[in-house]
Amino acid sequence: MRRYRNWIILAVVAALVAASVYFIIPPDERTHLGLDLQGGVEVVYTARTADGSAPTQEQLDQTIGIIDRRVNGLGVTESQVKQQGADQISVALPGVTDPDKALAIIGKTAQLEFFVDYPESRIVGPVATRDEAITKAKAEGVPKKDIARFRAGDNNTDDYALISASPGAFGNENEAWFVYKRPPAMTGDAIDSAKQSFDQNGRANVEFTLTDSGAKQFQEITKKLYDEGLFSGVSQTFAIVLDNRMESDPRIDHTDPGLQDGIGGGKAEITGDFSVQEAKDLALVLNTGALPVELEPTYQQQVSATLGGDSLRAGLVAGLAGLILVLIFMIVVYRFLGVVADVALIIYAVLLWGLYNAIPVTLTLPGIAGVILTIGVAADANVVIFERIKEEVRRGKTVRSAVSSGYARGIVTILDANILTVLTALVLFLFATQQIKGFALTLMIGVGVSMLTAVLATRAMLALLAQFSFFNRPAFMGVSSAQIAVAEAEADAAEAPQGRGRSRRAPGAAPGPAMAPAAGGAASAAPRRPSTAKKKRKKR
Amino acid sequence: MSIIRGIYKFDYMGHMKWWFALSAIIIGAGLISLAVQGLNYGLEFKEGTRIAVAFESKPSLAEVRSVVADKGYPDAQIQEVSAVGGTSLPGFQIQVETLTPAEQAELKQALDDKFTIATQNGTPEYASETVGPTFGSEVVSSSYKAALLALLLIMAYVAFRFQWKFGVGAIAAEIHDLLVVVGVYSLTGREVTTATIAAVLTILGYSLYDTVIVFDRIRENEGTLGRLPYADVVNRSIWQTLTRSINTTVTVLLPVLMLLLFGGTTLTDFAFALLVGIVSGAYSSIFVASPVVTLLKQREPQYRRLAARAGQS
Repeated sequence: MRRYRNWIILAVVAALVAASVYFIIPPDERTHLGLDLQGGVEVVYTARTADGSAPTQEQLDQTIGIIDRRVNGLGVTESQVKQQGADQISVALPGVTDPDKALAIIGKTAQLEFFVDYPESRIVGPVATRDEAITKAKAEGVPKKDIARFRAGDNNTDDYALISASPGAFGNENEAWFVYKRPPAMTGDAIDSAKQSFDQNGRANVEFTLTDSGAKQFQEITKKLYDEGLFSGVSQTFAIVLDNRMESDPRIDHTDPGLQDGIGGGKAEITGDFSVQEAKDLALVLNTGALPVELEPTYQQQVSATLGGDSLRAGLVAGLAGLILVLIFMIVVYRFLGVVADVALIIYAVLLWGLYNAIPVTLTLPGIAGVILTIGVAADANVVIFERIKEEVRRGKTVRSAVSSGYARGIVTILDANILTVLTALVLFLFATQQIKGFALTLMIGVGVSMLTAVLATRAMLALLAQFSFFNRPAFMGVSSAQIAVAEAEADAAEAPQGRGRSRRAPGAAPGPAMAPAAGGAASAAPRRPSTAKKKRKKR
Repeated sequence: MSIIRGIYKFDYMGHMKWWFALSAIIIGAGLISLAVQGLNYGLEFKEGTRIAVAFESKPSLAEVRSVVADKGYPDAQIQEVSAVGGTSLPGFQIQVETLTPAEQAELKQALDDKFTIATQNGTPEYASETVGPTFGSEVVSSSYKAALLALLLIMAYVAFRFQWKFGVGAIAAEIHDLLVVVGVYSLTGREVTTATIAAVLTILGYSLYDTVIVFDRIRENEGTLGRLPYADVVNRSIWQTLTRSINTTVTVLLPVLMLLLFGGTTLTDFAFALLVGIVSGAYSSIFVASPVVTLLKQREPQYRRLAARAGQS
């Protein structure tokens, strides 16, 4: 089994490389760029209730839900709204082209509207995407200027509204888009208040009351819907839209004679397949979609797309330059071993990129810095091991045994050092701001992957190569025969003056040969080839 | 060759006083600078809004200042920069009090009207960052917490893997590095941002790499060179690991140097902190951590005897 171990390791590495390549191609789509590389805007709000105290978790969740709704309405892909800490909400909108407008939309008070779903009111929909909705609107004769504004990112013009619906709003499975003609049949100020309750069958429902004028309006609308339903034989619906997002599409049951005068009395209920939470959410929406808390922008960052793109380019150039320099350095100093290390480094870069795209990790500028740093760390691991190998070779060991002991001792040192790096990265990750978290994460992942490539993979490669006789030349390792001679001479010379004592052959003279207790035991780690080889075999 | 040998096989521990003196000078200069001019804290540490923008029409600093003042911010700090953000366009950095998004949009509009914000491929060359009052102080406190925690973890781990005396040596080196980096930042007046903090914390972990290499060897040699005075043990350990130390430092410095040169202004600060820290870290493993460990270990009775025998003080 041990014989095949190295082949297995290399096979696993090769498979990982293949998987990484899959995740890397094509790079534009697969790589997730952070705000500072893509451009966009990020805002962190601190939430406070009206009297200035910290909000409850429930209030925070509600607020996040409302903001999420508004952000989705913007149609920004990869937008993110999440809670940060105990009372903060962070909103990230990467790639948004007009950050000021996006922020204005998020921050403004909600707009609640009711549209009836007659064909002359609901002009387009449901369709699957926003673009499709715009195209169809054009076909239906919506004027050019409105189309132009829709295309520019506006969802509302004076005469038309572009509205999206989340899955489930009207029994739909996927998102859907509509275009409605303005003005809406009724607006939010007709609603007095709304709450979640339970209907006579014990199911969750939403009960709401209307203002006096609103009650009249509502009665007229619902009567018309009823009549229309009777006439066409299909119950008519009206859409409840909050911030251009359709939340619900209740129908007026045309078979219910109690509704023939519309719904009067200023009170109504919406029943359906609601969970309690859904009913609560809808009630919230009807309560003018008011935010239960006040949001104060605490932190904001805007990066233009070109600034982001330039930063990305700069980071990549630096990274590539650094990598190339390190590659050259390794070959110059460690010759053939350096080549092996370089192969491992390149594999490392590929694996890392693939891993980032697979998880996916959002790449920020500090993240790139972290990657560049780990290139140095990965090379370091090899330096430690190779220096050890060179020492062993100078002391006269065969290349094969030198490699073996070099790795054995080197790994201990590397583990110590890497664990420390990871510990500090962990501390960074737990305490730092969003951006720096990205750096810490890339550092940790990088160190981890580098253990795989710089240590395991190179060891496997070297172990396999060592089977070839051409490999067993010290010159390959960058150790000249002169150095070996010097080492031997010094070891002999060191015998005399030191006299007794365990370390008879204590060198410690030149920066080369060293006592390697793990390899040969304390006393007689003789620099003679045969006995060393014997010792090695015994140890196995 | 023999000269290099001479440098290599230098009696490092015998000249402890020199190293401590050198460190004292560097750190002392840094501390004086701290007392006199303090640190140039970046935006994340104090509240306000910072805008980086490039204009088409190339206005003068005075012109930009007058527009900003007209908008109601006469106390704004405005700087000309030769490269805005990661680009190579010259422009301005404007730092004002905390603006709401609406106010920001207004200011942006005013600047655009007067000077026309430069665009590339249709997007404006504009970046802004706003930090409210609470955010800055949170960042500061969390940074301190992180630094402290990291130091404790490091000390614990080193004490666990080696002896506690080595832990002290490691911490001495770490604190030395911290002071050097802070001192250099104060002396050069470079801006301290959260990226600087991140770099410093990383250095804490990473410079130990070097220290661990030396400590590892010292630990090995302790066993086998048992008849030598401790200073000699440490000296030899350093000789044996010098090449390794230098090479590991180089392999990390090369990428960081590239970051410094090519990484664009955003990454340059970061790279600078890393550079100073890594160099200091390499220095401190040999010239701070090792001497401290030597001093501590020399007091042990067995080593006192050995030292006396060898005629050392």
